[in-house]
Formats: sequence, C-alpha cells, structure tokens
Amino acid sequence: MIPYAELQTTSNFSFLKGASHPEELTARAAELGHAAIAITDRNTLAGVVRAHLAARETGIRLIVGARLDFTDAASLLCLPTDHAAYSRLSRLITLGRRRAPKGDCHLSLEDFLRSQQGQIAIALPPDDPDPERPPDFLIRLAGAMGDRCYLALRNPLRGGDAKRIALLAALAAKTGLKTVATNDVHYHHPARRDLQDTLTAIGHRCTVERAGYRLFANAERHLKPADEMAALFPHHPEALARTVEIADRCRFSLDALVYEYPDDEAPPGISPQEHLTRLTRDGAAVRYPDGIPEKVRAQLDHELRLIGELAYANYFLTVHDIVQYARGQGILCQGRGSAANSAVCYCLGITAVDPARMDLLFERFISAERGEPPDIDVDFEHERREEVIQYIYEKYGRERAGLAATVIHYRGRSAMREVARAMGLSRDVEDTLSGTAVIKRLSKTKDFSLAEAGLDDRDPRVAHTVRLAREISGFPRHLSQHVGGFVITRKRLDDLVPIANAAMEDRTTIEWDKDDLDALGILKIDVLALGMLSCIRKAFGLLRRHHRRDVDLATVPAEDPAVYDMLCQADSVGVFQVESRAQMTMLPRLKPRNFYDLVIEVAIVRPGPIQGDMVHPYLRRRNGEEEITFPSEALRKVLGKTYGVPLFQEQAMKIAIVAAGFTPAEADGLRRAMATFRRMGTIHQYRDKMIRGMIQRGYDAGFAERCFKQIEGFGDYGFPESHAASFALLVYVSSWLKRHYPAIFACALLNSQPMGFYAPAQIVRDAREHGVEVYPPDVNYSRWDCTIEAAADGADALRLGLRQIKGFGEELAGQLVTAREAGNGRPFFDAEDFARRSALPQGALRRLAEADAFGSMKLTRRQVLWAMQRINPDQMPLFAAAGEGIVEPAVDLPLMAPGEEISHDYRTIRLSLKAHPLGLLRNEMTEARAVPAKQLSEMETGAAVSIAGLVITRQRPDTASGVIFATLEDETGIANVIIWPGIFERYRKETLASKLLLVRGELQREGIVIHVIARHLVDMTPKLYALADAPRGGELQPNYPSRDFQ
Amino acid sequence: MPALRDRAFALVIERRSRAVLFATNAAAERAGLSPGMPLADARAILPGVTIEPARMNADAMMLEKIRAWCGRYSPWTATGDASDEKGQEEDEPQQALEGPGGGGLWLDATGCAHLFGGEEAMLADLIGRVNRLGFAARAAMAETKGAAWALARYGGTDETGWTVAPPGTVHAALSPLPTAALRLSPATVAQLHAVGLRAIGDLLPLPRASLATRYGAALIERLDAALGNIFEPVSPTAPEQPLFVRLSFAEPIGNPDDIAAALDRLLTLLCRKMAERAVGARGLIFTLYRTDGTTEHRTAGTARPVRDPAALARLFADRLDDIDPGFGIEDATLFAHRTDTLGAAQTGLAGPDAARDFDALIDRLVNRFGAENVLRPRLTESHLPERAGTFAPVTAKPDNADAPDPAAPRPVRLLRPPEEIETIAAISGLAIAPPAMFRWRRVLHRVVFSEGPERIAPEWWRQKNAGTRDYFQIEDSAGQRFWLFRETTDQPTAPCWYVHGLFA
Repeated sequence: MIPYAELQTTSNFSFLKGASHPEELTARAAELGHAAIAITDRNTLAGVVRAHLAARETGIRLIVGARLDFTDAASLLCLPTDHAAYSRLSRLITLGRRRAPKGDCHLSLEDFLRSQQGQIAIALPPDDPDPERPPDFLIRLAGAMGDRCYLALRNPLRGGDAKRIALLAALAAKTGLKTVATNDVHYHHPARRDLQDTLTAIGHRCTVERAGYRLFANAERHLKPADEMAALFPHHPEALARTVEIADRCRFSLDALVYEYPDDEAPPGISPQEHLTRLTRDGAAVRYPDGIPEKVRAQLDHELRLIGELAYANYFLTVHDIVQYARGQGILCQGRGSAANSAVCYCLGITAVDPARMDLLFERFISAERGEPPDIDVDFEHERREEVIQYIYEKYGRERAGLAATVIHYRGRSAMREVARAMGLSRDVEDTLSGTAVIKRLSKTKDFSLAEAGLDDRDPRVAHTVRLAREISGFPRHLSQHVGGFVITRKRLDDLVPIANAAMEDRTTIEWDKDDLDALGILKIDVLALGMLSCIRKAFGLLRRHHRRDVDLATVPAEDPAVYDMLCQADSVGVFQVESRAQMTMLPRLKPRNFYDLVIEVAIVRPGPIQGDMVHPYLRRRNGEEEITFPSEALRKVLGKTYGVPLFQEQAMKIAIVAAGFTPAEADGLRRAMATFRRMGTIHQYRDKMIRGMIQRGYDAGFAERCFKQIEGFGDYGFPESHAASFALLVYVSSWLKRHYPAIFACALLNSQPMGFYAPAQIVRDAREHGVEVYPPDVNYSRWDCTIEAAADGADALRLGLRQIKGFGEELAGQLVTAREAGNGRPFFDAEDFARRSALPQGALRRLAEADAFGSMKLTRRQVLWAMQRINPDQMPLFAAAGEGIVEPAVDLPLMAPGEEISHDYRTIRLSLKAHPLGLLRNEMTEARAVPAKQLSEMETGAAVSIAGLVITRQRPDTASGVIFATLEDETGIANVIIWPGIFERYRKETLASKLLLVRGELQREGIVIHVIARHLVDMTPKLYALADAPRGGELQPNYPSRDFQ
Repeated sequence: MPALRDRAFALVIERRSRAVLFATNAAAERAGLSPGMPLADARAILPGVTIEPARMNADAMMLEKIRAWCGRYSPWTATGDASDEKGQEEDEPQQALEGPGGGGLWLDATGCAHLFGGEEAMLADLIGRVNRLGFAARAAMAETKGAAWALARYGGTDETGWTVAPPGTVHAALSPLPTAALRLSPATVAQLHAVGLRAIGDLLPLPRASLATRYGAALIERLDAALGNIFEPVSPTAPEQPLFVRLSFAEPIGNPDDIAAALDRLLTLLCRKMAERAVGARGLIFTLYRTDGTTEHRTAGTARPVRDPAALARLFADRLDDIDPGFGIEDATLFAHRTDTLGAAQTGLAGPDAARDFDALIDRLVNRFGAENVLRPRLTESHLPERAGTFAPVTAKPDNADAPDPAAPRPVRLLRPPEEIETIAAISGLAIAPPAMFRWRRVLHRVVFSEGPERIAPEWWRQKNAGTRDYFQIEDSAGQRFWLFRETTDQPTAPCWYVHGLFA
C-alpha cells in the first residue's frame, strides 16, 4: 500500500467553507489508513482540539496546522514542526486577528516570514503557473525557508490538469521548491458535496441555483484512498511520498501543551502552598471567631493536603485574588462549582456556605485519577461584573488572559432558515419549515411527512432543505464569547491558543471553547453575572442604613424556622430560583425545613430529574409513602442522602461508574457527549453501554433507562450538588430578607430590575400583601431608585422611584433631585414652580404628569398636563419676564373615571396602587360567572370553575411537551392555569394575545397547589380598553405587561 | 383578488426593521389581527394568514386612477391635500394611507349634484359604483371641506356608507366626533386626549386663547375651517391630456401614399408632444376612420422609448399596404398608449450611432416577428455545458450582466442532446481513460490524442439520478477534434459514452 497523508483539509471550522467536522475528517483518514492528517483551517486553530481528541481515539496522527490567507500574497499551509513553532503560529494568528474586526484576520507575507522558523510551508499553486515567470511570493518563501518549503500539486479533475501539474512541477524545479500532493479536502466523504454547495451559497448570500462558478464543479474534494491519490499523479510519485516525509517532520502534538496556573499571588520567598495555607488559617479565624470546630479543622487539613499533592494552590490563590478585588470594590460575589464547596473556599471568602452546616464531599471535585482541573465559578452582581472582567484584563494583560469561546452551532431553526434560503424557497415556505411545529417533529421522528405540515412534498427543494438542514445541524456557525469563562496563564496565553477580538468592545476571546479547554486540562475561571446578588447587596445596604443591621451572605442568621414556614406556603415571589411557577408548586410538596432541603428543592426542578422521572419517587419516599430502597448496596453510598433517588449530576455520573462499570474517564466522556450530543450523535454508544452494563450487574432495566434519561436531561443544564448548595444559600438569604424585611426586599428587587421572574407590578402587589405601605412616585419625594420611608406606624414603607416611570431617564431624575435639594427642602408647590425650578425638558415634564407624580401637590394628571402644555420651553424667559402669571380663565377639565386612572397608571408605571383593574370589572366578571382567585382555595377538585384575570405570565417549558402554563391575576390574587396543547390549538389567539383572559375549566388541587385546567378561553381584553377609554392600538393604550415564554 | 376576500389576508410593511401588519381584511380582523401588529405575533395567532408586502406606490396610483374616474361627477377633483399631512410620521402605517386626507378624494360638488338627481342620489351613485369596482368606501357631503372630511371618516355609519350634512347642521354634526376628525396630527390628538378633551364638542366651550397657547394656532384654524368660519377651497388636479393626435381630411383619402403621408404628419405632431413631456413611445395605435363609420387599426411596439418620427414610421412601413380604404378615409388618429421617460437626445458628432441603428434593427425584427421570437444568446453560470448558454427574448431587460466564460475550454459547437457512441476499449485500472476508438454517426474514429478528464457532477438541486460526467478532448486520426464524455450513474449499469461537441 502506498503511504499517504492528506495535508490540506478545510473543516467546518472554516465557517461556510468546509462541510465536515474535524472529527469526521480524522476518523475517515484513519479508516482509509492514511499515515497522518493535517487540519488546516483558514487562519484559525479553532477546530484542532476536536481533531486531536478524535485522532487519539482512532489512533491516527494529527498534524496541527492552519492555512494562512494573506492580504498581500497567495495562501499557504503552515505546519509547525515543534512546540516552539506551534507557539509562533498561535501568536501569528493572534497578531492577525487582533488587528482585524471580529471574524477576520489580517496577515501579510512579511508577518509570516518573521514567524517561519520551525514551520513547514506548503505554497498553494497559482491557477496559471508559468515556470518562466515564477511569482515573487514563491521566490521569497524559498529564499527564507529553504528545504522547509513546498509547492502543492493538485488534481481537481477540472480539465487540463496533466498540463497544469507538469507546469507546476517545472515551476517548483525552477524555484527550488519540492512538490507535494494534496487534494484540497473540503469534506470527508463525497456525499457531502450537496452540503458544501449549500454552505457556499449561504456564505455568498445567494441561492445554490445562482451560485454558479462559485461552486466546485464536482465532488472530488474529499479524502481519497492512497491508491486513488496515486492514480491522480501517475508521473509524480515523489509528490505523494513527500506527504509522509512532511508528516514525519511535524512532531508537534497538542499533548505537549502544558498549562500552568498563574503564580502572581504568593509573595517572593514563600511557596504558593504555604501562602494558601496561611490565608486559609487567617480566614478560618475570622469565620470561626469562637474557635474552629474540630470537624472543620480536619477537613481543612485534608483539603490542603490534597491541594498540595495536586499542586492546585495557585489556582485557589488566583480565584481568591479576584474575589478579594471584588470585595474591595464592594461588589457582592459568591463562588460555586465543584471546588467551591470546600472548607478552604469558605475560609478564603470565596463561598459563604459553611461546611459545618452541610456535609458535602470535597473529593468529588478533584478525582485525582481523572486529573480534571478544579472548577470554581464565581457569580458577581450583574450590574458590576464588567468591572471585574476589566480588572482581570488589566492585571494579567491581554496576552495572559482571555475569555473562552463559545461555538455557536446551527440548530433546528437557524439551520432550516439558512438552508431554505439557499435552496431558493419562498419566504412563507421558509417560515413554515422553520416553525416550531416542523422543527419539533423533525427532531423527534425520522420519517417526517412534509404533506402533513402543509408543505408541497413534490417540490424536491423542500425535501433537499429538510435533508440538508438535518446535516448542517450541529455545524459551527461562528465563535462567540463564553458568558464569563476566563483562561489565565502563567506565561503567554497566545503561545497556547490564538486570541481574537470579540464583538463586544474591550473583550478578547481565545479560539477554543470550554470542552476544548477541559480536554487539554486548561483551567478556566467563570466570572458570571447574577441579578440576585445585585438585589441582595442593595438590600444589605438598606438594612445598614435603616436598621443599623450589618449582615453578609455568611452571617445571615441560619436555619430560621420562620423562613421555612414562609417557603412551605409557596410564599416566594421575588425569592431567588424558587419563585418560578414550577418551583412554587414544588415548595408545598417538598416542604423544606432545613438548608439541605433547599439544596434539593433547587436541584429537583430541573430538566434532568424531571425527564428521568425522579421527582415523584423522591417526593413519595420523603413523605414516607414509599419504602426507601436502594437498587444495590453499592448505590446506597451514592444515593443515601437522596432516599435512593438520583437527583444531582454527580450522582448520575457515579451510577455510571458504580452500577454500569464505566471508568471515571468514560463517565466523563459520557458527560461531555451529553453536552454536545446534538453535534456528534455518539451518545448511542454510551447509552447501549450504560444500559447493558447495568442490566449485566443485575439492575432493573427500567431503572437503567431512567438513569440514562436523567443524564440526557442534564445535558447543558446539569446541577451538581455544590452548585445547588451555593444557589440554595441565595434562596435562603433572599427568603430571609423577604420574611423579615419585606419593604427592603421589594425595594432592592425593584432597584435591580430587570431580573427575576416577576414584573414590578407583582413585586409591589406581593409587598402590599405582606403589609408594606407602598407610595407612588412623587416629584417631591422620589429619587431615581425606590427608597424606604417611614410609614405612619413607623414601619418601613416603600416609596416607588422615578425609575418606575416608563421613558423617564436616570439623568433627568438626578437633575430633578438636585433641583429639589437646591431649594433647601422647600417642596415644589405647583406645576409651574416645578417646571421652572427643575428646568426639565417638556417631554420629561409630560412623563411625570402622566405618571401622576404630583400627588403631594394635590394635582391631577390632567391639571398638570394642562398647565405644562402652556409652558413652552422656547418661551421660558419671556414667560418668566412677563411675570409668572398671565392669569388665565380657570378651566374645568373633565374628570378621569377610576378605570381611566388605573389604565393610565399601568401605561406609565406598569402598575397601579389605586386599584386593580379587575376590581373595577368585578361586576362584569361575576356576570360572566368568573369567581375571584381567592375563592379557588375553597373549592374541591373537579369543580367546574371560571376565572378571569390579567395574564401575567405564559410559559411553555420544554419539559412539558407543549403544555402552556399561564398565570392570571385579579384583585384578590393569582390563579394558575394549565392549557393543554389541544385546547391551545383551538384557542391560539386567546392564549397568545389576551391581556385579560377568561378561563372556564376544571379545578385541580394537590395540597395547597391549585390549578385550573382550561377547557374554554375567552379574550376579554376589550373590557380593559373600555375601562381605559382609549383608542385601540393607539399610543394611549395601557400597558399590562406579561412575561412570556422565558 | 376575490380568492383573498374569504381568507385571512394582511399587507405587511417594514417598520424600524420589523415586519408589521399594515392592513388587514375582515377575515383577518375576525381572527384577531389588526394593523400595527408585528408580523411574528400575527403568525403566532394565525399561522395560516396570507401575507403580501404593502406597496404604497401602487396604492397611490390606484387612488389617482379613481380620482380621474371621479371626473364624471365633478370637474374639480383632488386626492388628499398635501397641506393636510404636515408633521406626520411616515412610518406610522395607519397614517400613511388613512391619515388626514391620505386615503381620500375630494370632489367639489357645487353645481354638480343636480345632474345626478340631488346630493343624496349623487353620493348613492358614487358609492354604489365604487363598491362595484371592488372597493369599500365612505362619503360625506357638507358645507365645509373639514366637515366633509370628518363625517366621511368619523361620522355615523349606516348601511349606505354615505352621509349628507344639510346646510346649518355642521355644528351639531361635528360636536360628537373625536378630535382626530379635525385633521390634527396624532400627537396633538394624544395631547388633547390626555387632558380629557376627546370630542370636538369638548373644545368648543374652552377659551380659544388657552387652546392656542397650548396646542398651536393650527388647532383653532382647523376648528374654524370645519365649522365654516373660514373658507378652504379644494385644489383640483389638472387632468392630464393623453398623447393623442388627430388629422381630419377635407376630402376622404385612399391612396396608400396618402395614408403614409398622414402617418408621417401625425408622427411629427406626436413626437413634438412627447418631447415636451420628455417621454418616448413604447406602444402606438394608429387608427383610420372610414366614411362608413368603420375603423381600421395598426399597432406597433418598441423595445426602448423612441421619439424619432422616421424610426417610428419604419415600424409601420410594410404594414400599411393591405389597408382597405373602402369608400375613403376621413380621419386618422395616433395614440401613444405606452410611454417611458426619454430625455433630450444628443446626437453623436461622428455621424449615425451604431448602437442606435442596432436598436432600430431589433425594433423592426420584433415588430415583424413578435417580441418573444427575437432572442439573443446569454452566458449563464453553470458547470453543465448545455446550461451555460441560454437564449433570452431580446427585449427582456437583462437582470444582471452576462456570466464569465467557463474556466475550461468549450467546443465551438455543442450537440443538443449529446449523442451516444459505441466505444472500443474502455477504462483500464483506476485511471479514467478515453476509448481507443469510437463509432459516431456510423463512422469509426481512431483516437490519437486525448486530454482530460474534466469531471462535472450533476446539478443535484434540479436533476434526479443524473450521472457524473468525465469529459475528454480527443483528436482522431483524421485530425478532427471531439468532445466526448462518459457518464457514470449510481446504477450498476456500465457507463455510457457520448459525443457532446465538436472543436474547430
């Protein structure tokens, strides 16, 4: 057999050019028995880690390289021979990418020649070679690189090839280059030609039909067996032999990359381990002023020893530094992730979950045998995370720190849309094809009937579209930035991986995503944003100011029964995580009584346990309705804490190891396959292996199936126990604030919007239900933020801020407050006084007037507007000179009806403190037989019931197979409605477009959880508009916000 | 489009880079769609809704046609008065057409109504006819322009679709109408609404000065105009004269030369008229009126607008001979029924323009053989040789420039379809080789030289089961050069060979 290695391959990481995954290319090359394969994407190394892993699996040698496209010369393939050359290539690409806008790379031949040491260059052939006039490009390359420079020969079968190859050989001889054969591979198999054509058309934003000569004429750009390659170059066997010669010269492998933690923290002369130990001891003394409990001391020793053995000290020190910085700036943060649930992290202040308070196993994070790097994610206040990010860039420099990439893939809808466009389908066919219904069915069934979806199945373009969209699904589309995963290195990061500009200003990202980093053992620190932290920090601030009470995440009084009482009643509006509709129905069933119950509460309402059908068994066992059994003794250890039901991600992984006989590395592979299974479809091997393994070991097939389903559900959204623990702390802290300081909690929530599940209207309503007095925005009292005032009885009252007024800006609010304070506390006494002193623009005055913010002056909206309308800003001086009051005849404006008042409140501040619209419509609702929401609790399961309310949320969770959950609100409370898919199809318009919805159906209750199962829906929205007395569709329409399908 | 009447149908425009509904039909409104709604929402509510892009120009042109047609009722007609539309946001879908004056027509019915049997009869007739044309319409007649506008749009609706406000009733008729009926900007209407002033009647008792300082003098003007306190005339649109010329003869003519001379005379007159309007003829109708009242037509069309009498005369040149003059022709007319803009022409210094001569030739050919029968070859981008060249009607506007030449050489003559040949000695080993000998059209050719293969794959998006072709240029012992190809399909049958072209 003739030895051959393909050295020119374009994978789909050359976006819209290559039509195969790097994994497919390497696997196919291995199958063909090639000596090696080079992946040479265009000015990028983005696909090489995947290729590397696949090559390791199939045993073929991978040559890492890139095709360099220059701004001033023909292209060449650059193949580094050793580690140093690889670093030079990586830096070269960084240089080109940092110069160019995102997605581009500007390199000149000169740049390359400065980095050519240790590289092998294969010049790509000119279209019309002329040995008499060799291009300057080749002469320069040959001069600089000598025997490391080659000229590629290609036989694309496009006519005149023999002649062209002969000319190229002559050209090579003339310039002193050696020839080498390549096939300019764009896909691993000829069957991908259709897809490659389609990608080309997408890239040129035209249809395949019109792409013309931009398409390749034939399907030859695939990996070919060596003998076929030999047949293409009958007169140049040496060009084939040189592929192997080059492969032998390129000795670099990604395995040689060694990641080193940054070592900036430990002072000179002190080892990082010593420094970490010292910081931990200092921290422990602060955390445990009454002396460190014995259990914790032992745990610390144990952890520090493990950290020492695995040399992770620098990692912990780096995280500590970032957290320290945030703390210094007053930015609230909290760590989570497997390594975060350690006593060391608690003492370092990275986390606030006291290890004495719960019993988490530290080992879980570092299984020494896997050599997996530790994982700590740190959440920061969402409004201030950018400061932390810029601190990291500042401290380590752009060449040592970069954000990880996220590969954006073609998915159902985007795949369908772009393929449909390339196939030249009309817009409405495209819409139908990319509609949810079709996409869903496509993903579920293999045999999909086009006619069923109302498509013309005789149009071959439709069939092509469906087929190609399936193939393109999972293809990378572009690189984006990871939400906050930083890679920081001791030496230069761009020696490791190219760094490029992100779309966002001031951000730079590397070319690899988190799976790539994991695979190479490169550490990443996740710097994430969390709205609830902003809210909690603001609440702590208010607590200090108004109650002189100083607490932080770790010192909020623990295990307060009043807090759990509240949660058991599902009284959780605004609380972190457990405020969602699904969580609210879970709380009364799970009845959390301690911190670990909250950890479970957080973890159980997730796709994993739901899809794995683990929720009900857990609840039954917890409530003592089912015997607690373990599938085996071995699993008792794994599942003991959760009554034998796997709920956390690591439990599922552990089952694969303990019960199905996976090695830890395989279990890790399984987890990774889950996260990316849409891309590769390797999941089935794991599935078979796991279920077979479990059955062989005597487990029930159904249990095995459920365990696997659960792992599948974890996918990207898995919740390990430690994550759940950190989140549970925020649940507890926010619940504690809500329980004891409802006004402050609501105030902080409103000041952190947008965040969470509920709109301000619901937050305010909930606060009032908890006895908080809420005052409207008022020009004489409000600031931009909502504030705490003292109510008549001395309790905290909530004053809404000017931020609640739609369309009013923060700067204007500042101007207003300054003007108010400049008057030495003299309140504004009428509209003209206000206008003159605040000097706000006309538009802002109107906004305030429309928002009814003059209540303290006893002025109505209309009176203020009438007055403001007279004040023309252009005429202000004249008007003032004329002696503030040309006395006008008094005018009696029509009074607003209560319905109008409320409608205007909703329009301007999205809520009303005066009344609920349903209160005004109650008579009409009663006529329609709708009962108030409060009465539902007095009714029996199965009762026929009608209920009407403002639609405040609509949700269609992926886990609920098309069921829609809607929440209605009336003047007495909230009602949960379930709309089954059949009913939804019949009442699409009512479900989706109603602001005020009447639901007739059947009551269903489970404990204190009550649902109305919809049978019949009526859109009552016109009643709302009648209340507003405003023209439909006009500017004056009230705004009843609802949060839909988040 | 009657088919659309029963289906939910909506017109869509782009507003702030978002597709929103511009107009909806009754079926769509019943389903819950309304103008201004984002298209995405509309689709969620009614996935089956039929949509079309709204075309403002077409709407405006249609309105203009209806205006011209209204000339039957009054000599003074106009479309929406431009002065009414000041300060409007153009992207408000509702306002673009239905806004103040936008979608409406003005007729000054003074002294006209009695011709139709009175004001009411006139409106009934008008609305009836417009309805029969397929449009929904409303009309109102009143003493003032403003009142008519308000009543037509906001007045009480009854079955008839029209109202007449008898003299002296304007005040009462307008009072209950919303302030928008005063042709105010939406912003002003909103401001008035905000302080609770909703009906025109609400404004009447208020101090005029207070209103004017707040909402501008325009409000007071509109109010006065509607109530008849000030006079507001209709500015009519001058009717456009058709490009039509006529020649009457003192004595009936019949001699073909006389007819040709008459045509020349008419063409000269017509071209002068067209020059004034900077247009050229694309279609002409030449009509001859015989003394017995019968007529005879000759039509002609051109590829480009033309205004040269001689060139136009040539289009009719061979087609006047067969005219039967009967007892003589007393009148001749020439009507340019299709025209296009044509600027003033500059003649070249170097004498006759070759391109123009060519255009003239094409026009003559087209008039002789019909537009669809005169074709010109075009290159299109396709790797498949038989698809790389097509013919298109010469008059069709090329939508893009010709494609570039294919990279590989192509034969001078392409056989359509390729002709199958018998081959002797086929492929050996992996390498694809041309036959040593082949028989084509019963003659045996011995291959002495070959070049190839050039592999061309089928266009998978339009061809099913087509094979991949390997092309060879070959030369036979007689020095003749052929383009052969071998087609390989997925089928297990042996590949076939074809001759596809001949080189010079």
